[in-house]
Amino acid sequence: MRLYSKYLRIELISVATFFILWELAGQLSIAPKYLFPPFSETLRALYSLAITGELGSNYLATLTRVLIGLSLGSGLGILLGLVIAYHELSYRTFFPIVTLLYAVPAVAWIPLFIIWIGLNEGLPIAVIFMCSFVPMIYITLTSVRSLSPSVVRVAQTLGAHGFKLIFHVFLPQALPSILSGLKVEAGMAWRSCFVVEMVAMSSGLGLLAMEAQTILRVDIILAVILILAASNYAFQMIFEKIEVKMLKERGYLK
Amino acid sequence: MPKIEIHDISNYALNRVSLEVNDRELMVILGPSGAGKTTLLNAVAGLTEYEGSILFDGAPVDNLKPHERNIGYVPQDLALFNHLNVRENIAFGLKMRGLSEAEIFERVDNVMEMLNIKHLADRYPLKLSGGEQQRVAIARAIVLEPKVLLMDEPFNNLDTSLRKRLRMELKMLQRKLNLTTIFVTHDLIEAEELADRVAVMVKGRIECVGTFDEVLYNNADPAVREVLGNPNVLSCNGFKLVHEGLAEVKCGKLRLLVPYDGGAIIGVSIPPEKIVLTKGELGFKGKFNLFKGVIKDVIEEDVMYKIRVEIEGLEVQCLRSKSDPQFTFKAGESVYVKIPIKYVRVLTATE
Repeated sequence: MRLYSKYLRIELISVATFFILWELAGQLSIAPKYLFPPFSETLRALYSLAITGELGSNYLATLTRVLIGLSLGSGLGILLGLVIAYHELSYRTFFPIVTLLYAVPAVAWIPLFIIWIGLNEGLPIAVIFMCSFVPMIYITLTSVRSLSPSVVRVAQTLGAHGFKLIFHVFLPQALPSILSGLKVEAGMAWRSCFVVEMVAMSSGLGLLAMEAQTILRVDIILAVILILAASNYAFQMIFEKIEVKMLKERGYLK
Repeated sequence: MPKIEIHDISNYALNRVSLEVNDRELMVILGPSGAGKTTLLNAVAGLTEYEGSILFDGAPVDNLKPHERNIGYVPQDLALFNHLNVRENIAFGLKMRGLSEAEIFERVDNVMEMLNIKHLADRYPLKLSGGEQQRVAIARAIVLEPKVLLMDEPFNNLDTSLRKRLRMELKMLQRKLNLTTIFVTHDLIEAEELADRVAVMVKGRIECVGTFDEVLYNNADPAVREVLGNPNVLSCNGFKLVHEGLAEVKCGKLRLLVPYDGGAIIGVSIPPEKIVLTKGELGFKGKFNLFKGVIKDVIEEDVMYKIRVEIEGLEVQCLRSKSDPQFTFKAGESVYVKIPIKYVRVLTATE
């Protein structure tokens, strides 16, 4: 539970301190500024990226890939997870496979997908899809299977079976765990997308960082990293807000 | 009207269980945990697999799915849907059956009124008290107007006075709605207050069936005695008729007046909750046996004190509710022990 009034201040102070220390370390010129620019210069680089429109177009490219890949992957993953969890035989059949695939990091698919898909928009979307699809099947399966058996039994006596049971009992009951899974997987989606863009794409935040590296612009690299971190954080906050709202409504949180 | 016939049911927890529950009867299944009570209930509900046959009103229901059996089911943890508010919880079964919104609203309203929970309609289950959750679970089970109600220790986690109130409410509701009910519990008091008849279950088998008194007092089967937890079964070494319907039995040095209606008395059983302890001798000797005894120990249990008293070299056990403010007995104290004649059950040689 978050006690916003009390802890928000501490969180703000913590973040502010981090940036101030960064600024001081940069200004003290422990290392040359082109290797370790202070926070203010990073912000300046961010500003100039923004006004040239470079940031906007590349950010939009990354955001689109993340949104498409994440919604396709998690949507299908949750759906499949629910159906597999309902059916005992398919649960026994697929659970070991899902568990095996769950252990594979999403970026491990990059070389394979470059061969299968090629260097086009399909590539980052496929990688992000894999990085949310398999984990969301796994998370949905385990959360449905850990529901109280008596809740499922009562629902059955009341006439819930098949898709009725899945959508009126499994999904809403497992939703809090599914949402906290989504929170983690949204972060994974941003990270994986960044990596794909670094190695194989001609647009996106990852490309911006790689281009900056070739001309030795550390300030731009740091600015891109800041944007990536902030986007990731924003996504997590969205899912957390939904989760907390739901848990409060149901009385799990005060 | 439904009569439930259970014929020779077996599975992983049940061993050839047969039981008949009459129309509108409240049958209590009494037994220790692990006896298979819940599994039996789940079999009747169609929620677990079994061999054998179950009939409602003479028609086998073995191939019917749980929702086709027309039952109301209240499990031990109540299993309210935490994602739905009270109204939606109760409406769940009606919604699954595809009734119109208007009809659902009306039927849910009626049931909420009946159970006095209308003011809770918009609340979520986790924000309700134990007793309120209880009523919602019962409302959800009866809103479909089932013919059979199955309840699995539903009052377990509630305090004593609330349990008592809910038991009374349940009994009234069951009469009003003519529900044939199977109620599972391990609590003797619950069984005594609720049951039309009691079935005692031990290790996957039904050991005996009868009214509460028949099962509790007239059963010499040691397995059943253990379940019923009545320790005051004394064997007798002689008896004589003192009056029409009254006999004096000798149990060791103890002489006890008991009701008598024929047969050779071999033992007596005294319900622990019927024994009265007092500190001063009461002035008269009425329809009870009076002894002087010494308290050996006082054991604190869930809601009761268990007191062991020695009288005439024999040991008997008494139960007192913890809520009794007059209870001040301690080990080592001398007390008077009053055993009402009418509550002493005799075990005769034929049984």
